[in-house]
Amino acid sequence: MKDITIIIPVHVYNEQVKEMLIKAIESVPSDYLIHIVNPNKLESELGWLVKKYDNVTVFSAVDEDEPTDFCTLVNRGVSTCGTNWFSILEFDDEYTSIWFSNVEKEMEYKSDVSVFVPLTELNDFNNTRFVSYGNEAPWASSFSNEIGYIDNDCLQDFFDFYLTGSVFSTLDWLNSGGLKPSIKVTFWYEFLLRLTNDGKKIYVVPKLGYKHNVNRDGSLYNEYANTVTTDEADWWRELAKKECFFKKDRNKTYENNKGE
Amino acid sequence: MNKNMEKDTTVIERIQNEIEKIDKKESNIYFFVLDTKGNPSGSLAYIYNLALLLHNEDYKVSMLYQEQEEFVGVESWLGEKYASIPHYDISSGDVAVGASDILFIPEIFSNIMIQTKKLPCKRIVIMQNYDYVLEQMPMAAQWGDMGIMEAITNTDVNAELIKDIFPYVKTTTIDPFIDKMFGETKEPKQMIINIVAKDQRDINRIIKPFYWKYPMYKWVSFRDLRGFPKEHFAKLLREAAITIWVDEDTSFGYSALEAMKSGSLVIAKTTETTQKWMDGSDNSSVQLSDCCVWFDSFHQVHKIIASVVRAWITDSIPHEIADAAHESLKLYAEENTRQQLVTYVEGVLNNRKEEMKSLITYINNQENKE
Repeated sequence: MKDITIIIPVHVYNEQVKEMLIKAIESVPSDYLIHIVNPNKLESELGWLVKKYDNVTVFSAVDEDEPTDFCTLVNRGVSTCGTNWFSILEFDDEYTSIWFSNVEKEMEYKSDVSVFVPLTELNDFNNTRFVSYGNEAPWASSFSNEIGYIDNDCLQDFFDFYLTGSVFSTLDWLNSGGLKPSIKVTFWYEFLLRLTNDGKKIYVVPKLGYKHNVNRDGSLYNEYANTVTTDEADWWRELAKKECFFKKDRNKTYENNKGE
Repeated sequence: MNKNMEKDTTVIERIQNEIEKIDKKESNIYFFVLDTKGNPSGSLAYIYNLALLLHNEDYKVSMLYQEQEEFVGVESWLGEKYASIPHYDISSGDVAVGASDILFIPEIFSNIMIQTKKLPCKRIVIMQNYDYVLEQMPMAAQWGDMGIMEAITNTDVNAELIKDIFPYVKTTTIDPFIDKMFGETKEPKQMIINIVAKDQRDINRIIKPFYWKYPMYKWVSFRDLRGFPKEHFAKLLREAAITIWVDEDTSFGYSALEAMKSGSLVIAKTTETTQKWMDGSDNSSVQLSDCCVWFDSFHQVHKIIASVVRAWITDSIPHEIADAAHESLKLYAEENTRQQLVTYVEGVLNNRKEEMKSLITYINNQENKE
């Protein structure tokens, strides 16, 4: 088996999720371990996956009374992963067939990189049409200090990166403290700021590695994004810039702190 | 011994000395060069490559120049090994030329062809650019008037062009080679597009409309490769996924081949003449080789760049392009050039020797008659 574990957080399960999950799993080469992280209550419903796919393990990692948000599931998944590297796959997305071969080539030459980010293709879930590329900006000249890299300077002005599909160093992730569940909307941004503050290198592999669906009804992000006002989004961004100096999640909420 | 006979003996001795110099590889091989003041030039690199190949074969090679200002040379862009070949200013009076020597004169120096007409050495023109011949030769003169009867060319196309206007000139094609410093590594390439073009207007014609027409590719970076030292130029070619090459009146196409050798996919503007490496014709059709993605008009190039970028980021560039590039490059290995050049120079020197022996025989015969 390869030294990269694929973590798929699943917070809900129904027929539509099942179809998407199969597609997502089947985009992973069979020599990569897949950990499906889910709340206890879904354990029995996801058990069939273990029988169907030799490389799949289902982790019922979150207790009934714990939050089942994306960040918590991912953090739990990483804590169970026994490989030096891991990647997060959303159950409604998929990898491209060329991603892992390309990232492995890059890993051979870039031993100082902590996160390998794919070029992402954003497609509209409802009509399967191409919307835009994601994570491409660091390949524009003068965007960052070193072409292809996401650095702290460029993050001061640009926050829109999609980190699902990326290949992370497990050690660097654990040392950084992982994702902060209380930071809504901008949790990836805060995480990137924290890593770059710590001098970690983040490289965008210039190959299309991940297909991300947007505008899906029922998606956690979509539901949340639709309720967030411009002011609140700005507040989360500014919060990310302040919180990135702390390793621990300090449980900030918009409702309690918006007057800050 | 009468005075005439004494004179003839001295002449014979001098000729024998020259023959001995050829036998001992002591004849001088001079290359006249232009000082580009540190600016890279493919034509000049070809001449220096020939010089270095002969230098490495233990021929006595020197570079000649004529410069009012300080001579800058090629060290900054070709490197020390080229700059360390001995260089002489012909105005200094340090250069002695004998009958066993060879002087190579680039086609651009019609004035040097005239100035050196009376020298006893073998003079051979290096012809790489037909336009220079048209620009520099006086209307009423031709190479024959200047005693030039032999030329080496870098391509068969140039040989044909010269034969067409000066049919009495003997031509030999010495293929250029692509330097070893250009090469592919296994390290993955970056999504950067190099542009090799002489004219800034061509660069504008490529980049600006591409960004206007394909805003989704605004993140693709272009890099103008004009004026870099050779080693840095090689590094930039090696790093980039794609190189766009525009040189419609090229006399050979070094940069395109150098990019191919560096593993960079070449998008190329079609050229006025089809060089050997560009020819992909087979028995059934005449066509350009698949070694490059060709475009005829700047109006098409944006679409081609967008398609190639998409194909590259999705690993769907047809392997036939790399295969064809490999075939084109096979024509220009250093060893081929070395063999062609050494055979040629040996041939010239041997002919020279035979001419001198014939001259000695002639002088002796004349003496005997007297």
